[in-house]
Amino acid sequence: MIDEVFTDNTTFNKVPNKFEAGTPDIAGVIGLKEAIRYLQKIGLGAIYKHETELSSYAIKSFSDAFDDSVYILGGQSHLPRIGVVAFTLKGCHPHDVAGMLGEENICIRAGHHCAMPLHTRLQLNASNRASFYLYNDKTDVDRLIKSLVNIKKTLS
Amino acid sequence: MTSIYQEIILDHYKHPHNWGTVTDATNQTTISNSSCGDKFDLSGVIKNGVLKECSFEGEGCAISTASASLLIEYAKGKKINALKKLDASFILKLVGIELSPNRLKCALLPLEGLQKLLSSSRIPI
Repeated sequence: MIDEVFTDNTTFNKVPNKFEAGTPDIAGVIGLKEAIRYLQKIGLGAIYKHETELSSYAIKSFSDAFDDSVYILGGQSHLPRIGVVAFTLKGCHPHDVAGMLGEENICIRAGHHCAMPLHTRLQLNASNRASFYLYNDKTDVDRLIKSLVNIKKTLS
Repeated sequence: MTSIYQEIILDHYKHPHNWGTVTDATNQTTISNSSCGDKFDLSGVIKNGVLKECSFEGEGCAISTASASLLIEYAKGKKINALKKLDASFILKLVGIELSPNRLKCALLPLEGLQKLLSSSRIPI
């Protein structure tokens, strides 16, 4: 943003105004307000409950399907756990697992999840992490497990 | 979309060629990708400007392991000067799959390792 413009020189506004020319992100502000309204209508408590139900369902499904060949970071207990389940599948490199799931439109993370010291302590090169939220339900968990069973067969 | 996990990749991953350590190696090096935890040790015999023998071992995903297996199989018996010219596009042709940017580094790790091996100083006898 300028302060003044002449034919032979220009003076600029002071920072931060200098970098904030144009229309402010009005739509973004309105959208954010609507998003907050939406979450408050459902209730953060209800979302937390939904997430924890899904993660405990996922942990149980993992154990049923893979028994000892799955390692769940943080143990089997679902509390105090939010909607994330980090795991490793025996004999399957986490990046291969995430890559193969991605080909089936199932998106999960592979890597350190910004927690490298933890992985070092657990002596893991990397892990996978499935994250659940309001938009997921049990059928997503079932699809994940079903694909993982096939992936494990393919990779080992 | 074609899967990157084609039979050739899975086959080289499960049964990598030239797996192990070369006996009487003249050169050796280690290459790693800390963000994945992939790590390979490469060893080789360089004689008269030719990579006579080469092996690798370590831990990696299907893409990096298969790429290493295919690359070393190709590189054995080739002249060092020619091998030093190999680039990313050569590797992509070699593995024969299209890779997203985050998996490209997996496929290219072995090439980085080979170049490091070729430029390494000889193991003192």
